[in-house]
Amino acid sequence: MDIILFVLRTSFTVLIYVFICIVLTYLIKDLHNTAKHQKTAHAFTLDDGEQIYLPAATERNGPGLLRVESAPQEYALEGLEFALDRELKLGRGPQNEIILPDRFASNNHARLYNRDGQYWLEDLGSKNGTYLNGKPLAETTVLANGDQIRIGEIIFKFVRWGYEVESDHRVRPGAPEE
Amino acid sequence: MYRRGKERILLAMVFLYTLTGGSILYLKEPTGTDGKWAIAAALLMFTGFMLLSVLWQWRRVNFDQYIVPLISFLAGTGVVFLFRLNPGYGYRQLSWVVIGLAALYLTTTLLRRYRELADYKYLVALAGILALLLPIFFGIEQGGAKSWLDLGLFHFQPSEFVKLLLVFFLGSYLMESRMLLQGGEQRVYILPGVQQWGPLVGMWLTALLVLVFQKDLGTALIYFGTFLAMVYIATARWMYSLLGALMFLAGAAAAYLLVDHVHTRVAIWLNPWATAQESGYQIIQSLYAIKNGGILGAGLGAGYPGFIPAVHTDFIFSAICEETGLLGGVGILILYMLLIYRGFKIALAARDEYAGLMAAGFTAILGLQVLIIIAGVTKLLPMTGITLPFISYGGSSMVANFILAGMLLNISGEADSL
Repeated sequence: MDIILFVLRTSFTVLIYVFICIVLTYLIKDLHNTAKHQKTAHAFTLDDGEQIYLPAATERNGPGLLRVESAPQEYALEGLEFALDRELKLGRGPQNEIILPDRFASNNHARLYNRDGQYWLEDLGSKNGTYLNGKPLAETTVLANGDQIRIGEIIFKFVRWGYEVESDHRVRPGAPEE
Repeated sequence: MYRRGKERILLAMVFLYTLTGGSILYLKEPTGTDGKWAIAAALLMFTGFMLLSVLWQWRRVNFDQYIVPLISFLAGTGVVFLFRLNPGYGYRQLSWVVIGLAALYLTTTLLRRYRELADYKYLVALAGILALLLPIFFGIEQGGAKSWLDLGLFHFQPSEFVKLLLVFFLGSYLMESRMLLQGGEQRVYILPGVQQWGPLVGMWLTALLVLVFQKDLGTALIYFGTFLAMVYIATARWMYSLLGALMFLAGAAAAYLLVDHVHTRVAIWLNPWATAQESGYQIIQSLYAIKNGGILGAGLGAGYPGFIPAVHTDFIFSAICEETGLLGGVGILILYMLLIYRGFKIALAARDEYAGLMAAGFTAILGLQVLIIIAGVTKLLPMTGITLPFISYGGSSMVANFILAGMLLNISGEADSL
């Protein structure tokens, strides 16, 4: 009887560590999987950006582009360029043309669209707001070449070819008085 | 995606562990019914946790697979040790685990839309403060702290549930006030503005209220520590944490001078041998027990942890150390570390900042509790009467911690991938 008790008591303590080892093995496996998953996910968004938007933008035959000026390293967005289209939707949701992997971005965050030859930026009721040149965007606003758009931690630069002259003549709410 | 295979393999391991524990208790006294019940408890808990796992798979939810096995391991350890220390408490603890399981399941169904609670944050805060005030007027005193309500069948400790309300309130409150901070230019405050002082002072006063009127040192420390952790996570300004820590130290120093109860606790901590037969008896017995365990331990059921007063609640870690030794004690600590690691992982992967902040807050509560009580029984810090989460005997704390685990599961279920 004593020997059975001894074996059981020893295995009671050993089982604590067996359990810990199994949990750790699973956790390490999970971490490897997460790393792989993230790599493929980024490759996907990268591919997405390159295939659909980059060629048009780099050929410089479109009206302009939206360049990611700065974004946290892990988003792998920095330097990407998105060609302007009739309409570009920005947000976290998969239905957007530009998917923002940012924690502060809403599902349908903002919209950039063309009307009467001008590009307008509209906030779609996002939770944390859209910032144009450092100021919160209150209403739909005309964009000018060189404008800086910030959503969460991602900063875009709006680039428009051949319209540089007009940028000084626009009237827009919230514009700095110079 | 919705498979929970890992969870079930781990739960089977937990079953093997608790079954071994139960068998030891049975073989030690084959004639009594307590040993048989310890084995039945292992089976019952295994069935309960397995049932939850199957239900979640059936509902196709994507909950974290490690939280449940980890808490079931800790709760199993608690039940085995309580059957060994005092079978009367073992039976009650077993029923609390079953009630806790029900609470866990209800949390993962009813509180899945916990975001809606954000709209009622001041109501939540009010409920929390009322629950804290009740024991001051109608409470009964146990072990020096006046934080229990006598409900006839059992004693109810509201402060255990106020911990959860605190995280709910702070989560939504900080998300709101942090936006104020970030709305302006990115200026770095050396000293925060007046509107940022309000909550800090309010929280400090609440903690002191608990400390002075309920004489509950540990709970005050947990509240304030959780508050500071969540403020730091929300604002990333170490200034708040530093100021808060200084304020708490000032408050604690004042309490040391003015409140007898606090004074005694610190005196015991500094030199328990001066009052070895009276107030220092408990901590000295705890130290003896841990020392007796050595590295390998006396073996389950072969030690003498019965000498420690309140060994079934606050001092259960000493009993674990005596009977499974340093190895067992460190093993339990590693399990808590894994649980806290998972908690912060859930916070990092959370769908948005609000959920992440809440998950981090819940995890901070767990971590602080483990730190404070284990530091207490090993005389690293002054002893403060709080429970070791999931292991100590105590219905309120068991149910509250199961709800906490359920909230972590809810938050993990919303994330895309963990």
